[in-house]
Amino acid sequence: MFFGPSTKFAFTFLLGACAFALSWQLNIALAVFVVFLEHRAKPFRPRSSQTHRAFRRFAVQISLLALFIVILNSLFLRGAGQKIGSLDLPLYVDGLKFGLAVGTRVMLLSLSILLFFTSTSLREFSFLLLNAGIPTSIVTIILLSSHFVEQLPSKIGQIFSAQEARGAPVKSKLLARARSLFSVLSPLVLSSIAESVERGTALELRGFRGQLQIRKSDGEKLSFPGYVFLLLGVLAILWKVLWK
Amino acid sequence: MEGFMEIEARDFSFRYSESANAALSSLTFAIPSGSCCAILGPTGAGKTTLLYALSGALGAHYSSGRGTGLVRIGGEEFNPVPQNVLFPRVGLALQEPHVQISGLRETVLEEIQFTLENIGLDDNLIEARTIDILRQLRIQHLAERKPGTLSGGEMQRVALASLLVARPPVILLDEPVTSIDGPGCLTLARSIVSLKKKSTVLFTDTGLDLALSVADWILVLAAGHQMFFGEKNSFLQNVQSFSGILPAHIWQSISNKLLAPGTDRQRRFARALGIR
Repeated sequence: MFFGPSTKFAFTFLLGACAFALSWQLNIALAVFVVFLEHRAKPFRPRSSQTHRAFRRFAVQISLLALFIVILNSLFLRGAGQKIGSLDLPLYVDGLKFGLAVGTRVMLLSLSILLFFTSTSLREFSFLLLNAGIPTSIVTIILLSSHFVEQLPSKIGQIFSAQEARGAPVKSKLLARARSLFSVLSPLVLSSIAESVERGTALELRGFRGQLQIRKSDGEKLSFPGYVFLLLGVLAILWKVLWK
Repeated sequence: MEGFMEIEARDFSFRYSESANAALSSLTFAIPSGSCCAILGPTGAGKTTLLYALSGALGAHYSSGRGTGLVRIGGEEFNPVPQNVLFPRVGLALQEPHVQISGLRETVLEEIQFTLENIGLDDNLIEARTIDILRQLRIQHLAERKPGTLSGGEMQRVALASLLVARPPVILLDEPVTSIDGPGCLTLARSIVSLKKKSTVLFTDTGLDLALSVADWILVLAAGHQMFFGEKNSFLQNVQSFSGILPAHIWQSISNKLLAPGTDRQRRFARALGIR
């Protein structure tokens, strides 16, 4: 597999390294490239249209956050005190530069991580971790947690409905909702504990002994481009640390 | 893992450590290999505890509980209960199917394959068996679906498939009809009938429909006590004499379904039983 999960992971690592090492202009260019990859490149296509929509939404949100970081730093980080242009606005050059560096860094890093996870299945990810030598127990915990997190919204919804039917003020004012939080959280925690015990038994009843079995079809070695991405990523970090 | 296994319990009792009363009290029954036994009784009768005991989950997870008597599965004696989960010799489908979905796999197909991966079968066999069970339970159309997006009935069938794919000689089903609709029940009944050709099947139920259609043996429990054990025919022939000892809801169900004239099916049942 030319661009399998491990190669994609190496590519994500390279993008992450670039986010730290490169200038904000290049970071913006790479962030646009990531959005392009999500839309056009087959290995990076999201696994469902729902995931695609979520990626798009997140791209807009993270861009707004980056913009917010830039404005905030320009306003409050004076540095040498030099203002931007001839305008009489309290926006400072040093703050702007710092804000751009941080904002674009956050944007590129978030988008590249999301690009990896929206295009990689849970199964592929688990075997990537196992092939990387991560202990089975840790991989299992990660997978079970992700399954739990996935189910969390519907569970919270159910508890909200149940509490609302019993008269809890779950849809009223913020303060009342905050007070009713305990009545929502406590059943959630208790049911989660009970269910995790049952789930453990169910896994055991299907022959699971804490060891995820790797099948022949799951094995994927890092491709040549993957090694190149890793090497470039390491070089980018070294360059940033040693020469800048 | 294929082949028949009989199940026997002799004076088998079990009490949870935190409980003063026995969850199961002096159960004695023998279910021949390749037959199907319905365990009937109201909520809290001990039906699930019995299935957990036979699967080994009770001994493995409630070791502080106290058991006495003897359990024999496929000629192997356990005194009093197996201390380890007996999968893949014994397969247990839990009452809540969503718990049985591992969450470790992305699609229904992979979820079913997960069971066989745990057994350590090779890839070709895994593929063949998975396709076979999808066909058998008529859930091919669900193969690429995400397990989390399935309806209750679909999830129940997927949970069942993920168990049956291992072809255990003893199959235990805890209230398999809980979240299945009418047509789903019919499919399940057909599946159980075909399973009997390869395995010994025990299932629990609070109603009578499934028991009357597929079971060969009936075990009735109430508050952990064995109220009746015998062949279905004997249960039906002597049904009126059990009116005093059967749990009220079973008796009510029998009265409604078999004794009161009404639908064709009820009349047919009543005629078969020699009841007007």
